[in-house]
Amino acid sequence: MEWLLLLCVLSPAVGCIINGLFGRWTYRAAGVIGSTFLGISFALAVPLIIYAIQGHVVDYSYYHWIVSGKFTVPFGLRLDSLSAMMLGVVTFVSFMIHIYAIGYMGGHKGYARFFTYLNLFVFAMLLLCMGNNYLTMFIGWEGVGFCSYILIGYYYEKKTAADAGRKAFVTTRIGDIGFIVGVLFIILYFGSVKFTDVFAQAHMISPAIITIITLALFLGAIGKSAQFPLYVWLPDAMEGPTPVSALIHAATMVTAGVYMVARSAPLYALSPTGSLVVASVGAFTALFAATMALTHFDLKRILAYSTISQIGYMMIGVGVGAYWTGMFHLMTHAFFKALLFLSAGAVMHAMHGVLDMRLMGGLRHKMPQVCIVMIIASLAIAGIPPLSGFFSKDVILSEALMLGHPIIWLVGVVTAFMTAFYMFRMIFFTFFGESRVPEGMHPHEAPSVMLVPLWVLAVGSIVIGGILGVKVHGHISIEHFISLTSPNAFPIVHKYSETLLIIISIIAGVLGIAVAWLAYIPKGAFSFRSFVVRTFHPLYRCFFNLWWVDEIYNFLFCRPFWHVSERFLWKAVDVKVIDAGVDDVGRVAGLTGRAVRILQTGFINNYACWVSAGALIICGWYLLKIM
Amino acid sequence: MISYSLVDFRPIIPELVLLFFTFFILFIDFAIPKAKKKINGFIALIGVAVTLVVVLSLYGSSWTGFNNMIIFDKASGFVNIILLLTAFVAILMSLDFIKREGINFGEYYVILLFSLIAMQVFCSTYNLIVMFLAVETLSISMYILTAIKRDGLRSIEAAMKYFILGSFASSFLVLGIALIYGLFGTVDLLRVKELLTGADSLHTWIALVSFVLILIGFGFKIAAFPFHAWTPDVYEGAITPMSAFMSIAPKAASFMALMRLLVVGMFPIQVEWVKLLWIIAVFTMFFGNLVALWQKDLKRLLGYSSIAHAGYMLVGITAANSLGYGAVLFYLFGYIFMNLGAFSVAEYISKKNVEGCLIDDLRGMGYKYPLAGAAMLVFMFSLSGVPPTVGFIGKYYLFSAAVKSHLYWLVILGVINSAISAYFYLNVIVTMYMKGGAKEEVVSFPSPYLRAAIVIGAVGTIIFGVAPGSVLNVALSSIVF
Amino acid sequence: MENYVPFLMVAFILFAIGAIGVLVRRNFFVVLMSLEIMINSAGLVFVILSYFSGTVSGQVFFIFVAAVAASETAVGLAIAVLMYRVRHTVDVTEFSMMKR
Repeated sequence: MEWLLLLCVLSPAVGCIINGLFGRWTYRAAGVIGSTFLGISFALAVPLIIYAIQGHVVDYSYYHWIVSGKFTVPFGLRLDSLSAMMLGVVTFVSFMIHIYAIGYMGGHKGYARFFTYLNLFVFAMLLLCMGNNYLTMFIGWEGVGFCSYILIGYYYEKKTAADAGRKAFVTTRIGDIGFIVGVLFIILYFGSVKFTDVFAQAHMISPAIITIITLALFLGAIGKSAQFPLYVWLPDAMEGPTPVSALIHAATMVTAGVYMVARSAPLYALSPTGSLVVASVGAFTALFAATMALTHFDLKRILAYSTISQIGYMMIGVGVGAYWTGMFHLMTHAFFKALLFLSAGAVMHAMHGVLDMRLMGGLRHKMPQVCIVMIIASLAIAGIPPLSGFFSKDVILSEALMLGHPIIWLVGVVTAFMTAFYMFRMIFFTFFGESRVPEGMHPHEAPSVMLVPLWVLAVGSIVIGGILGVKVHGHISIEHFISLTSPNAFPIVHKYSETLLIIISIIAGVLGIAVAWLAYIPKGAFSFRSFVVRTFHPLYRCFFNLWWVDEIYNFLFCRPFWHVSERFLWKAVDVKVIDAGVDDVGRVAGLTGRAVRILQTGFINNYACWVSAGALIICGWYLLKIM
Repeated sequence: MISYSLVDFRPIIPELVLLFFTFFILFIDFAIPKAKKKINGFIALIGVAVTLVVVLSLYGSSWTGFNNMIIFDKASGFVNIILLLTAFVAILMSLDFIKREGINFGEYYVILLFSLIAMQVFCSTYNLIVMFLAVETLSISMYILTAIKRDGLRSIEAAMKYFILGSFASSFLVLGIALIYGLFGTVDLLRVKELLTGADSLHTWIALVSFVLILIGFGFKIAAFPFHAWTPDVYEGAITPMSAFMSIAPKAASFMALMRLLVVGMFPIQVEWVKLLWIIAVFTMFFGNLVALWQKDLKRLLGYSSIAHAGYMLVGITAANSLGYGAVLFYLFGYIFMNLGAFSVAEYISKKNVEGCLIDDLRGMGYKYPLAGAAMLVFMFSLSGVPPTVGFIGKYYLFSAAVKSHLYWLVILGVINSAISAYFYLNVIVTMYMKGGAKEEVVSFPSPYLRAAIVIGAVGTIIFGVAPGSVLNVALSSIVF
Repeated sequence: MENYVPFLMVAFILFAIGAIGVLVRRNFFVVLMSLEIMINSAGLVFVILSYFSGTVSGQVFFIFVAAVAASETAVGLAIAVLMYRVRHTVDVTEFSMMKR
C-alpha cells in the first residue's frame, strides 16, 4: 500500500517532468499527457481511499533526508481518513479541471508550460496533504505557494498579472513566517516533526507553548487560506487563467489552511484559546468577505470573495472543534466552487475575456447548459436542500451553536443569507434579463471537452452532500470517517432542535434568493435597488469600495516600506555600497576581496612566488621547531 | 623474491578496461575522417560507461596487487565512480563543442582517457612513487588539454601558467618523496606509518617537513591556498569542457590521495597536520569567496568558487574523523552535478572562439532559455548551499563532522564563508532574472548532448539533494581507514 | 657510514637555484631549464639516499623521475612553440592577460 501511495503522489510529478522537458515536442499533446497522469493518480487514489474507509492507516517513512543524532527529517506519507479525503478531493477535482483546461487553454502560447506548472502544483498539493510530518507538509506548503505565484503571473506580459503574482507571494510569505515559527517550536519542544510523535507527546507540553504553536501555525493558514487580514491577495489572484483560479484559488490550495488545522487537531484541542481565535477569524472573514461580494460586478472577483467567505465557514467548523464539519464543507465547496469558477470561465471564454456582468445579461439563451450548471452550483452554495452545500453548511452552523458559540452562529446565518443573495444576483445579472452584450460579440455554448467536467462536477455538487451528510442509523458517515483521525475536540454544551436549525438556515438561503429576485428580475427592480442604495448609502459605499482595505494597507505598510527602501536602503545603502561594488554582504568582505584580488597579478612569476613562499613558511615553521 | 601472477591484475581491472577503449580510439582514429571525429567521442563515452558498470559491479571488493603498490578498496571504487561520471558528462559537453571550435582531433579523447586512467591509479595506491607517476601522467595530459585550442591567446596563456606552476609544484613533491624514502627506506605509506609511530622526535620532524613538501604537490592539485593561483586563470582560459573536467576529476583523485597520505601515512602526527590544515582551509575558503565577489567572468567566478569549495572539503578532512572523510567523498560526488552543470550552462551561451563567458551575458536568460535558466538557478542554489539541493546536504555533513571534532571556530568561519558566497551566486540568478532583457548576440549553442549534460546536472543536483540517503551511506561506509 | 650531508647540500642548493630561476627569469626556456634543474636535483636526492642507505630502489625511482621530467619538457617545448606562434615572444610576463 505504501508504494501505491507513493506512486499516486509521484504521478503528477512525472507528468510535470515530461511536459517540462519535452514541452517543445509535446505541444499539442501536453494537455492530454498532463491529464493522463492526473487520471492515473486519481485511479490509484480510489483503492487507497477504500482502504482508508475500511479503517486502515498507512504511515510510512520512505527515507530519512537528514539524520542528525536523534533528530531525523523523514520523507514519509500518511494515509488516514483525513488525508484520504483530501486525496480524493484533490485528485478528482484536479483531474476534472485538467480536462477542462485542455479545452480552455487550447491555442494559448505556452500550453505545455501551463500543464507543467499545473501538474507540479498537484504534486506539491499531494505532498502537503499526504505528508506524515510537518516538514514534508511544509515543502508541499511552499511548493503550492510557488506554483500559485507562477500561475497567477502566467500571463506575465500583463502587468496586472505580474503584480498580482507578486502580491500573492509577498502576502502569503508573511503567513509562512508564522508556519515556520510554528514548526521550529515543534522541533524545539517535541524533538520530532512526525505527526504521530508530536501528537503523542502533545499533552506533556505546557498549554502556553501549545497555544503559541497553534497560533503560529494558524498565521500560516491565514496567509494561505486568505483569511482576514491577509486575504487581499486572493481577489487579485483572479488575474490568472480560470482553471488556475478554480483549482488553486477555490478548490484546493486555499483550503490547505483548513486541512492543516484539522490535521493538527490534537494540538488545537489542547488550546481552547487557539481554537477560539481560529473560529473568530473565520466568522469575521465569512461576514466581511460576503459584504464585499454584494456589490461587485466582476464575475471572478465575486467568486473570489465568496471563496474567502466560505473558507471562513470552514475555519468556523475547525475552530469550534468540530473538525469533520470543516472538512465536510471543504469537500462540498471544492465541488461547487470549482464548478462555479469553471462555468464563469466558460462564460468568459464565450465573451472573449470579458468579466464585467454589466456587459452580459440574457446569456441563458446563448449558453443554456452553462446556465443550468451554474444555477445548480449557486443553489448548492446558497444552502438549498438537498444540494451538497446545504448539508455541510448546516452542520457547521448547528455544531457552532451546540458547542457554545451563539454569536458565531448568528454571523454564519447572516452570511448564509448574503451568500444566497450575491450568488443569485450574479446569476440574474448574467443569465437573465435583457442582453447587454456589446455589438460584435457572439457568445456561444462551451465545447464538450469543457462541458463534460462541468456536468460531472454538477452531479457531484448535487449528490455528494446527501450521500455523506445524511444521518443514517444515528450517525453521519462523514462525521464518523473524519472523526477516526480528528475527533471532536470539545463536548457539546447546548442541545437545540436540529429541525429548527435546519429550517432557519433554509429560510436564510431562500430569503437571499428571493431578495435577489426582487432586486433584479421584476419590472420595478431598478427603483427598488436605487431605493435600497440610497437608504443605506454609507454602507453601500463601504461595500462597493471593499472597505478600503487595499488603500489602508497601502497607507500603513506599503508606503512606509517604500519610503524606507527608497530613502534609506536605496539612496544610502544601495548607491553607496553597490556602486562601491557590493551590497548586502557588506563593505568589509567586498573591500577585503578587492585588496586580496590584487594578489592575483596574472604574472606567472608571482604565482610561483606564492607557492614557494607557502612552502618556505610552512617548512620553516617546522624546521624552527626542530632547532 | 617477489613474484607476480594474474591475481595481481584484479585491482587494475577498471584501468585495463578503460585502457582498452583508449587504445581502440588511438588505433581507429587515423581511419576516421576529420568531419566524423565525433565517433571517437562516442567510443570514449561507451568506454567510460562500460568502465562505470565494471566499477559498480566490482564495488565492495578489496584487492591488492603488485606487491601492495595498487589497491582497490571501497574508497577508490567510490572515487572511480566520481571520476567516470565526471568524464562522462565532460565528454557529453565536448562532443559538439570541439567541432565548433575546430579542435576535433582524435587525440583529444585519447588524452582525456589517459588522464582519467592516471587519476584512477592516483586514487588507488598507498605507494608514493606510484602516486607521483600517476599525478605526473595526469598533469601532463591536463597541460595538453588546456592548450588544445592552439590559436587561443587565453588558452595558451593558461597552459603556460598551468605547466610552469604544475612542474614547479611537482618538483617539491619529488623532493618530499625522496626525503621520505631516505628517512624510512620505503615509499609505501602503510610501512611509513608503522615506522613513524616509533620514530624519535628528529625523525618525526624531518618526516613532517617532507610530508609538507608532498602536501605542496597535492595542495596544488586541489587548489588550496597558497598553491591556488593557477586555478582561475586556467579555468578561464581552457576550453569549457576541460575547465569543467579539471574542476572535479583531478580534485577528486587528489583529495582521495591526500586522505590516504594524511590519514594513513601521517596518522602518527595527526595533531600537527590538523593544525596546518585548519589554517589552510580557512585561508582557502576566504580567498576563494572574497575574490569571487568581484568577478565578471562566469568561468573565472567558478574558478574562484572551486577554490572556496576545496576549502570546504578541507574542513571535512580537518575534522579528522570518518564522518568528515565520508562527507568529503559525498561532497565531491554532489560537486560533479552542480559544477559540471554550471560549466555546461557557461558553454551553452558561449560564443565561438571566445574562451571566457561574461556573467552579463546571462542577462534575461531566465526568460529566453527557461530550461537552462532554471537549471542554472538550481546549480547556483546548490553551490551556495541552499536546501533541498545536494550542495546543502554536502555542506551540512562537512560542517557537522567538524562540529563532531569540536572545531567550532572552523565551522563558524565556514558558515560565514557560505554567507559571503551566497552573494555572488545569487548575483548570477539576479542577472538571469531581474536585469532586463537578453542580449541579442547571446544565442544558445544547439547541442543535444550539451543539453543532456545540463539536464543530468540539474536532475542530479536535486535528486541527491532530496534523497541523499543511499549515496551518502555508500560514501560514509567507503572510508575504511 | 660516510657523511651524506654534503651531498644532500649540493642537491638542495641545486633545487634552490632552480626555484629562484623559476621565480625571477622571464624567458620561458630559462624557466623550463630551471624546472629541469629542480626536478633533477630532487632525483639526485633519491640517488644519494639510495646510495647511502644501501638499497637500489631509489636509483630506480630516479629513472622514473627522469622519464617524467623528459616528457614534461617535451610538453613544455610544445607550449613554447604555441606561445611563440600566438604572440611572437616567449617572455612569460607578456602572457598576463588573465588576472584579478
